Amino acid sequence: MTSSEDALATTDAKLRRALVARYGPDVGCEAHAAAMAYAWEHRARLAGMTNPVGYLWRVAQTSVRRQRRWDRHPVLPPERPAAPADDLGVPRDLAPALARLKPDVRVAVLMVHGHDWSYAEVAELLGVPVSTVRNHVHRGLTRLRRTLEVPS
Amino acid sequence: MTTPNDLERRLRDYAQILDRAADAHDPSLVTMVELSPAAAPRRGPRVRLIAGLALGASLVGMVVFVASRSDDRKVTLLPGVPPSSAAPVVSTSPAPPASSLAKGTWRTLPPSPLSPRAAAVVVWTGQEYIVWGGRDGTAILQDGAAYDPTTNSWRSISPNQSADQGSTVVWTGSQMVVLADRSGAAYDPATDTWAALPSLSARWLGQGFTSAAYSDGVIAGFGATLNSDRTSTLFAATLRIGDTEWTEHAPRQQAGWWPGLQRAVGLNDGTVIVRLDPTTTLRFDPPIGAWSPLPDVAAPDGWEVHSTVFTSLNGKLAAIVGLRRSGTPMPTTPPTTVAPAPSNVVRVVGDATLPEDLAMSLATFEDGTARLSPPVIGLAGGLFSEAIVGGKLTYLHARSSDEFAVIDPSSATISALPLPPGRHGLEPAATVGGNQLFVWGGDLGESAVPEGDTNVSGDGSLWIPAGDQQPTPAPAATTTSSVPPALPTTAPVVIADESRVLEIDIAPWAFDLEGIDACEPGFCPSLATMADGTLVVYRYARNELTIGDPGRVVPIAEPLAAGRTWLVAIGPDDLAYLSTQPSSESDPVGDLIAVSLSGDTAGEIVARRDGVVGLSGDSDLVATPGGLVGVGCCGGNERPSPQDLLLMPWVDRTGAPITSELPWVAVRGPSNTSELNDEWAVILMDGGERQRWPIPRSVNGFRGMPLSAVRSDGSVALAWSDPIEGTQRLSVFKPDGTIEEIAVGTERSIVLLDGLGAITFDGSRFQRWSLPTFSEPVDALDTLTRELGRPELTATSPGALVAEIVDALRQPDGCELPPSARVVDDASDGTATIEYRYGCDDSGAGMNFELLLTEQGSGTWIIESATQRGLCWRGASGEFCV
Repeated sequence: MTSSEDALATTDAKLRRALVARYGPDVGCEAHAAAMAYAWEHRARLAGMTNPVGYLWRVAQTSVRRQRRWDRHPVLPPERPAAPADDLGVPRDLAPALARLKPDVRVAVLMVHGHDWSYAEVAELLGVPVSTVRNHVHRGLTRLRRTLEVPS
Repeated sequence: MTTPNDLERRLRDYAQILDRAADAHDPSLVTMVELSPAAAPRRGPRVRLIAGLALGASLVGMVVFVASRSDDRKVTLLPGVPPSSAAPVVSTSPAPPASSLAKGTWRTLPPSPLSPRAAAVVVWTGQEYIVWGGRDGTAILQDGAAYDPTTNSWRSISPNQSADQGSTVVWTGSQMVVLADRSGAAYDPATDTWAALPSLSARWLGQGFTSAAYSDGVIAGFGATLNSDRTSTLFAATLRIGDTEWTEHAPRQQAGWWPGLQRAVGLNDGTVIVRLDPTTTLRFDPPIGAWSPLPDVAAPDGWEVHSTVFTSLNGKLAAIVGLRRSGTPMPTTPPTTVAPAPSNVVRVVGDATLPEDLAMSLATFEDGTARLSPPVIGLAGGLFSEAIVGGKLTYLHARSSDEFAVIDPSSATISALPLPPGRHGLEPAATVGGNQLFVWGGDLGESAVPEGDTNVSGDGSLWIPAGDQQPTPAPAATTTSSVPPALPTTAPVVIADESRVLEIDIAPWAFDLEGIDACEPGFCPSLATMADGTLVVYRYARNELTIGDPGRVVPIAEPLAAGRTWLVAIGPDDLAYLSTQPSSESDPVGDLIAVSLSGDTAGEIVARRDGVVGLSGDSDLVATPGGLVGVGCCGGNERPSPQDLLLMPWVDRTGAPITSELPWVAVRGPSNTSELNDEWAVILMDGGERQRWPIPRSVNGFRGMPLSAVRSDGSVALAWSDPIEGTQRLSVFKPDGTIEEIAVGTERSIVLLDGLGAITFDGSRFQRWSLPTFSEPVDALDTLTRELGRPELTATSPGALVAEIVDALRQPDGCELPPSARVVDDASDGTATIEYRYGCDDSGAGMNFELLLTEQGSGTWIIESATQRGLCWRGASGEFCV
C-alpha cells in the first residue's frame, strides 16, 4: 500500500464519522460514499493536498445538496430504544438534543468528545480556526447540558 | 441526574451507536475487490471496503500435474490475432465514451436464420456477432448464424454436430472455440469451417467444461465434481494455441459443493479468475497450473452478499458485489426500472486488466447448478441477472425482464437503458462488441405457453451508444428514445463577453417565503413556477398544491406518500408534474404524474408514468418541448441530447400528449471531450437555436443539467453547482451577449430560477432572492409616481429631482422596516439609480429604480422614464408592492 493510499484509508474512516455526525447515518453514509468515490478517482490529486479531509468534506456536502437533502436536522438513531421522558428519573435522550445543535457545533462535539478528535483535526475538517472549534464545543456542551438538565 | 462526566461518557457511547448505525446503513452496493497482478493476493484491501473483505486469504501452493497423453489428431487451431479493427459501426477507441454509454438507441435486428432459442452462446469477432447452439425447450440445437452490424444482415454458418450445445465459448482473436462436455470445436469465420478440438483424458473427472476463458494464447476450461464430504474437486485444463492436446492440471479440493465452476474470465496477465459463489473466488495461473484464493467477499453486519461478478472498470479488474439486508427475502419479481442506488460507489483498485472484447460465459448460483442461468446482482434492491462484459464495458441485465443498465467506467455510475425492442427474458445470447450491446433470443418463461413447452425468443436487439451512432442500413432501426429536436449543427456567431462576477451583499434582496410548510427531516416542500412566473408549491403535509400568493389551493385527489413526492415542473395546459415514490418502493425509483391545476379536473391525476424517475439525485429532469427528459449525472456533450430519454411527455388535461412552445435551454460542448473549454455554450432554444453564449471560464464544472430559466426579456438564468469546490454560481446570459454572474455561498442552495431571480434554501428557510441586476426590468414610471404621490414631480436640476424622489421614498409608512432609499450614482448626466427597500412583516420590496431625467424647458427637470428592477414580495399582511 502506498503512503497516499494509507492516507486515503485514514481519511475514509474519519470522513464517514464526521459526515454521519453532520447528516445522520442515512444521508451521511451516502455523502461519504460519494466523496470516497470521488477520492479514488482523484487520489493522485488528493495526495498532493495538505487537507484532503477538508476537501472531501466539501465534496460530500455538494453531494448532499444534489440529493436535495436540505433538512437541517439530521435523523439520528436514538440513544436508547424508546427513550422515556425524564420525569420518570431517566435521562432525556441525547439524540434529539444533538440533532438540534447547529451542524458544525454537533460535528465538533461528537468528533471531540465522541471520537476523540483533537480540536485541530476538527478545525481542518471544517476549514475554520481552532478557536472556532473550541467555541463550538463549549457552546455545544453548554446547550446539551441545558437541554439534558446536566449541571455545569 | 446526569453528571458532566456522564455527558461525556454518553457522547462516547453515542458515537459508537452512530458507527454501528452507519455500518448497518451503508448504502453502497458496488464494491471493488483488490486484486494484485501477482498470483498471490495481497493481504487486505487498500481501503475500508464497504462490503468488507475477509483478509485471511493466503496463497495455496499447488502441485503441477501435466498429463503426458498424446493425441494423434491434428488440430487446426489458428494462432490468435487481435480482434479486427475494421468494425465499421463499432467504436474502436480503447475507452468508451465518457458519458454517453446510456444514451443511444436500440436497433431491432432483422429476423435471423436461426429458430428461436435460449442459452445460445455468442462472440464478437470485431466484424460479426456469431451466435451458436442453445436450446428451444425440447432440443439441444447445433446450428448458428452470424450478424454483421455493418450490413445489418445475418448469414448462416456451417453446422457442426460435434459442437454440442456449447456450455461455454471463447473468442481467440480468429476463432470461436465452443467447449462442450469434454471436448469442443473451433469455428473459423474467415473460412466458415469447423475443426475439432482434442478430447480430455480419462484423468479428467469433472463433468465436462462448465466455464472457460481465453488469455494470452491459452484456452482454459474448468469443471468440477462433487464429493460426499461436501467438498468439491475442481479441474482445470488448458490448451495453448497451436498445441494438439490439453494440459490437465492438478485438481483442487475445495470446501463446499461447487457443481461447476461458475464463471471464468481471463486477464491480460495470463491468469484466470474463477468465481465459485458470491463470496468465494479463485485465481488460476495456467502456466504453472496453480490455484490461489482471492480474499473472500464478506458483507458488513446486517448485510448478505448474494452475488459477485467480476468485470472490468477503467481497465481494471473489479468485482461487483450484490448485497441485500440480512433476513430479507430475495425479491421474486424483477424491478420495474433499472436505477442506480443512491451511491453506487465503485472503487477501482488493483492493476489486472481484462483483454479487449472479452465475452464472458454466464452461470448461476441461484439453484446450485452449473447451468447457464446467470448470477444475480442486486442493485438498488432490484435484481440483475447477468453481467455482460466486453472490453472495458459492462452491461447489466435485469432478471426475467428486459431491462439493461450500463456501468460507465468514466464516472463509475450505473445508468439504465431504455427497454430493448425485442423480448429476451432469461439466458439470452448477449455480449459486448466495442461499446455496443448485442442481445439475441432468450427464455421468456412458460406462463404463456402450453405446459411442457418453453417460450423462447428469436428477437434480436443491438444497443448503439450515442457515440457510435451511424445510420442503420435497411431494414431501418427502431429507436426507443429521443425527444428534444436535434440541436443545429451550424454554429451561429458567438457573442462572447468577459463575464464579471459580482460581489453583492444579498441581504437586502432576500425575502422569506412565508406560508410554506417547514422542512421535515429528510424532505422539504417543493416549488415550481408557471410560465407567467406564478409560484406553485407542493405542500406534502396536506398533499395539495398552492398556486400563487395568496394561494389558490388544489388538493390532489389521490394520496401521495409524504416525503416521497416532489413537484417537478409546471407544464402546458395548466398541469403540474410531480415525481412520487410509492410507499412500497424501496428502490430510489419513482413515478411521474401529471396533476391538473384548473377546470373540472383540478386535482386529478390525468397521466402517469410508473418507475421512470431515478431518485438518487444523480440525474436531472429537464423540460423540453416534448416533455420531461432525464439527463444523467454526467451528461454528455449535448444536454439534453436527442438520445436522452423522454420520461414523460407533456399532456393536456385529458391526458393526451401535447408539446410545449415555450423556449428552453440546452448546454452543448465539443463532441470530442467532456472537459469544459471555450467551445462549451449555453443555448437558448426557441424552435431552432435563438442564441448561444459561451460558458464563462469561471464555471469550474458541472454534472448533469444546470438549473435554468428563460426569462421574458430573452435572457437565460443558470445556476451552476461546482462539483469539486462545492460552490454555486448564478449566471444570467443576456440578449446583448453579456453575462453577469455572482457567486452564491455554500450555505444556501438555489432551488428554483424564474424571471424574478432565484429561490434559495439555507437549511431552514426558503427565500426569494432577487438581485436588481438579475431581475427583468419593468416599466415603473406610473407605479413610481403613484408611490411618490406626486404625479408631476419637478425640480430645477437632476440632482435636486433625485433628492426629492429619495426623500419621498423615505417617508415612514408604519412598517417595522422603514423605507430606505439612496442614490447609487451621480445624476448629473440625466440618469440616476436609486436603491430602495422597505418591508412590513412578510411583505417587502427591494429594487433599483433606474431613472431617465429630462429638462422640460425653463430649467425644470422631470422624470422621462423609470425602470424598476428588483423584487416586490407581497405577503399576507398587506399591499406593499409599488
